[in-house]
Amino acid sequence: MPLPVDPYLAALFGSETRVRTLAPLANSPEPLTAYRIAALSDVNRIKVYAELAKLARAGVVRERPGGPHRSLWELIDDDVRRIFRRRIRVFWSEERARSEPDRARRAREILAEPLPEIDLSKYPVDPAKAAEVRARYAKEFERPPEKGPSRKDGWRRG
Amino acid sequence: MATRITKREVENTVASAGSKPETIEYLGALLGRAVGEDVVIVGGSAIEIHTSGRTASADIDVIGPRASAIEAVESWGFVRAGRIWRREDWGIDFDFLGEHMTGSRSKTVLRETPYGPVRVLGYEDSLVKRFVELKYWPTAPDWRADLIRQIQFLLEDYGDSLDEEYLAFVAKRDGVVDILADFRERRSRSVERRDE
Repeated sequence: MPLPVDPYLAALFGSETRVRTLAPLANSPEPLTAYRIAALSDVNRIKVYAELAKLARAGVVRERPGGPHRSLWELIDDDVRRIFRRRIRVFWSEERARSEPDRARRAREILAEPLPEIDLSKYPVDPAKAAEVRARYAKEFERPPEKGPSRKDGWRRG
Repeated sequence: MATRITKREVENTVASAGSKPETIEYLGALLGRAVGEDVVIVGGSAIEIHTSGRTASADIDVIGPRASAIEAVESWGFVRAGRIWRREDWGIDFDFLGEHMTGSRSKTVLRETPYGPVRVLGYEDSLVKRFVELKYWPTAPDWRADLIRQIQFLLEDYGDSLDEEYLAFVAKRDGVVDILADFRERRSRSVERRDE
């Protein structure tokens, strides 16, 4: 499945292929092979190599040895990385595993605090806006009886 | 291109998942391959994935080609129950919401799984939808508490990497700028307290 390309990034970087090549690099905590970039971005590997070569000449990415007959590529421009991460997100299981202990700790801290008391009357509802928003989200928020909350607490697996 | 995913393959995949969010991701990945097009996991199941299971969802809400998705899950043993498709022995429900997504496809998060990639509704859209539900829909106290925790966890994990321009646009469009600002202020105070 090809990565969606943000039109802003396509305009800024001049090419959808370039954006698709950079997106996995920008989102990866580690350097990637061209093969992996091509698989994640659904771009032909030859095109990925061509883009990486141009980007390397411009100093945007760098090639590193990754073992016998293997090269790794990394994005070396942090500004480009930040721009991409706000607009194209790719998430790998390795990154999830690495960040999980810290996230779990912060979640425990949140749960240790009382649930915030939210006074909804503080947020005035404009009737016209309410009608518009309810029409927009009706299908998602209007739950038929068969979508009852009783199924929320854990699943059985075969 | 659509790929035939057998019932046995799905059963083995579900058995291999180590958690409920993983189950959702894996099923989403298989469904995408089965229909040969993007599917996007949205709603509470998207947030469950983003929060690594710290929040719970009742079913898997899916944006994608409805007819072919239904055909696929029926071949996997799911049976229609009203609006949803259910596999009773797993306690898993799918709700196919069609192809129109209220949110940005470019902001969806592509998550890699051993069974292929799956798209999940982006952080900004997930947040705004929860603000919308709080502000515009009547909610029972326990569900309201769930919504608040979902918002807290999303802001905690992703609050510093949001596309602020897009978030401001969607929040303004949906009339939830006020509630977003309030929650961000609460988060700032909470972080200060925890850092003391």
